[in-house]
Amino acid sequence: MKARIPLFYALLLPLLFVSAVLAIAIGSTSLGWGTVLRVVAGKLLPASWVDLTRVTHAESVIVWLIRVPRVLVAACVGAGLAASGVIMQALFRNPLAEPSLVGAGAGAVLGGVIAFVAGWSVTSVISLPLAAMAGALIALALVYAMATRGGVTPVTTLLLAGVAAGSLLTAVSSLLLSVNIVNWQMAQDIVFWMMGGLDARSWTHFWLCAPFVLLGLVAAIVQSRDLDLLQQGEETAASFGVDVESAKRMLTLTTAVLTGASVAVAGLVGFVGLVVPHAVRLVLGPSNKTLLPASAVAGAAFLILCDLAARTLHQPTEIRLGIVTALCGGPVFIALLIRRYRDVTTG
Amino acid sequence: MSILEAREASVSRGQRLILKRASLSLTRGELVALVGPNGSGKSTLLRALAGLWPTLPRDAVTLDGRPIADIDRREIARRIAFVSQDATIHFAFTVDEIVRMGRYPHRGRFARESGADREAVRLAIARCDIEHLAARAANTLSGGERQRVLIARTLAVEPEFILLDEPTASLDVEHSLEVLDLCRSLAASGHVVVLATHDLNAVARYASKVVLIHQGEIVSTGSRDEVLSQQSLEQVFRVRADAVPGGDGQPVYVFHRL
Repeated sequence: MKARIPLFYALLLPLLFVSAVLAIAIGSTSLGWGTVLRVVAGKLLPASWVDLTRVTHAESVIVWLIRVPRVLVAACVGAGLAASGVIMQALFRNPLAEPSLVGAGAGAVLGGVIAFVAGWSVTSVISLPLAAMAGALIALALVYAMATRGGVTPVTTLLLAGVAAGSLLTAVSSLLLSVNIVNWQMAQDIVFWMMGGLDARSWTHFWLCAPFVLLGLVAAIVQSRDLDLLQQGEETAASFGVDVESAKRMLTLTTAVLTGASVAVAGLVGFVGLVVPHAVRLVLGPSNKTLLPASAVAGAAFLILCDLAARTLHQPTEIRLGIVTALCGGPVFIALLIRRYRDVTTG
Repeated sequence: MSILEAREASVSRGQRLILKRASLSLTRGELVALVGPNGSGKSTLLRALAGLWPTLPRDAVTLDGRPIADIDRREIARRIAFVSQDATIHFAFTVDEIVRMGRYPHRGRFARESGADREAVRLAIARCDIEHLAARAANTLSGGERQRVLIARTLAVEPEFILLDEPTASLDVEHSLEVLDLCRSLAASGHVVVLATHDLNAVARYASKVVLIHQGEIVSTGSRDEVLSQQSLEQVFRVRADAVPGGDGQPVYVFHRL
């Protein structure tokens, strides 16, 4: 498995680059890839190095202020959700676990809905992401408090508390939505946000999301050896010197930060955190130090391509991103389930 | 010389006392067999000795006179290893990756794998005779191979005390002898090896000390002949044993229900 790592990155990094350039070039106004590269290079490199005379102001605005931030936000969300999924699957020792299991996803959605209903989202562009992020962390704190007795938090209890809290919080979100349905415009905004999407995302959204995703990724990689051992069972981990309860707390907090930052800027985007880590694990093996960065890169590429499809398949309107990822991820999930079922029944 | 000691250690689960004032002292070079019927408290005693029972009274278990509760989790892990009865390996980690996990208590969070780490892993893999499996996914191995991989992971720690909970329970005759031989050679090289087991014939052949435990109480401690007397077998295991001389002069037990 280890020998495959260079090959994996040799294929994935160019794919990531090509999908990013494609996603910037393709759209209601199609641009040549030369224009895309020139504008991006013009922004990043010293002015004298790049010839910008053939790029119009409109093209420059479309590339740098509309499409580049959107692609970068997609990359961050994909990386965050995938890394979060890696942690969840290891922590629950279940390859079919996903980031929303501890209630952080539902908490983030409720936070976002409150921001819509309270009208904060109209007054400030950062209030929605901040409310979603706060919702994720508060939900996790509640779930953790419910699942902990005498300083011990069994993962099975954590899972049950997470699922219960998740449905409760989702119900509250739906309640808020239905009592506010008379406000048609707001209700539509909420529904669209809940379905996940990256329309009209700006550099502000990127800066709101990227630092948290980066922080979460680094924290996860630093804890990767604890996670390897936890994956073999808590008693095993403890017998090798892992401080199990503190490691679980830090790891669930890390997933809440990653999930919260992603839901904050993209709404609810399902299946990325489930399918990407699972697929990458099949190729590179389960060692978390390898799996975390590899899944992050694969998740970024996957979500950039899904968002490209969401924008372009049904022009001039957009399909919601959460629908595209579910349509791609759902069948993969079912295939994995069937495969797993077959493995179990055939021994 | 290091001493791991339990002094009147009691453990309760709910209302029930599952370990009653157990006292035991372990020092270098011993191969101790912990025997007793199902549910007698063998696993509980092993976990208590390994510091894996957080609700234990503070001074119930001591390592070189220090309460184990006061010792850093990593230091305990470097000195006392515990191999659980559950030999499941989750996810398709390779044998090499599994054994390298044994270096966890020696490595700082940001430290790279050192020469000492690699050497310990190499020796552990060689000692358990699993070099040929190093690149295999550990969860695809047979029960006997998996048990050897888990023991190798424990040896990679380079612990002084090795506590094994029924290491031979799921193994066939050959592999179980292999594991027992390995235990004997570990004890001979200065480790303290404690194994909980139901295999009284193996106990008779391999153990230098036998601890008999019944309903949470240590009934007797001593040599094979002292502890596994006709009387104690009848009282604790409710069986009658005929000792038949084996080919090597050691007796072999044949059991009958009372």
